[in-house]
Amino acid sequence: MTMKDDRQEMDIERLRALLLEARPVAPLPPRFQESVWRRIEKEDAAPNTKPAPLSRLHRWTERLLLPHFALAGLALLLVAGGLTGLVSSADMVKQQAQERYLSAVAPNILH
Amino acid sequence: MRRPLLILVVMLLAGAAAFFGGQRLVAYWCAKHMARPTDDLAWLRLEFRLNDAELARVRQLHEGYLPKCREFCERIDTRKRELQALLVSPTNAPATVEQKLIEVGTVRAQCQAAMLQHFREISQVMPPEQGRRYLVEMQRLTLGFHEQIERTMSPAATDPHGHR
Repeated sequence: MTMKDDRQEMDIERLRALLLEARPVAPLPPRFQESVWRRIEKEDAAPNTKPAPLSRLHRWTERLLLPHFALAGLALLLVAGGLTGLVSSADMVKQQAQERYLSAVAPNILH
Repeated sequence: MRRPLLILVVMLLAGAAAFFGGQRLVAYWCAKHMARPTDDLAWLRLEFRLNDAELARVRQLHEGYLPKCREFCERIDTRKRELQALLVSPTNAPATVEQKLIEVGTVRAQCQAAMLQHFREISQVMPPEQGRRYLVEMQRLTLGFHEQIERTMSPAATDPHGHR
């Protein structure tokens, strides 16, 4: 071991001591642990409060009343209605075609 | 407290109005713009998904059957007119009326037999599955009509002859 090494080690020791002084550890408040446990017990003992059905409904209506939700819902219903109208019209055309065929091949059956 | 319910009701009404409005609007548009079927065989093409070749064969049979159908119709009409004349005549004898009723029934039965034969022929030129479906459907539509009436008039019916 040289003299240079000894000096380096002493510098490191001094630096460590300085760093410890610069970052002091704050002391915990009095009865810290006890208060933490008390808070946990209090949370556990609290009744499980469920939202009332009406308030849930309120939240839902509020959500559905948002312009984009309301417009999308109305548009969807409009399209669904249009599709059912189209299907029933196609059925009506088929019904008319069936009546026409029956009146051609079985006119006496119908009256 | 009642406000969310009111909003919900309004929303449901608006939704129903949108749905039924859309439905009526499209139905109205279709009724105005969709062509009414002008071909007697349009239903066969639509319902039994016949291609052009199958439809051509069906058309040939159909056109061959129509004169026979007309002839039966004329014969039934003639018998019915004769029966009507007998019924209004003050000198009608029950035996003559009965004879005329039998004649009307006989011509009707001959007409139905020819019709069923025609349906069988048509079903044979269709694809097998569609042909079976066609035959069942035509028997239901033509014979089922009378069966329904007869069932209501049978002694087993709870309300015979539709009288209370």
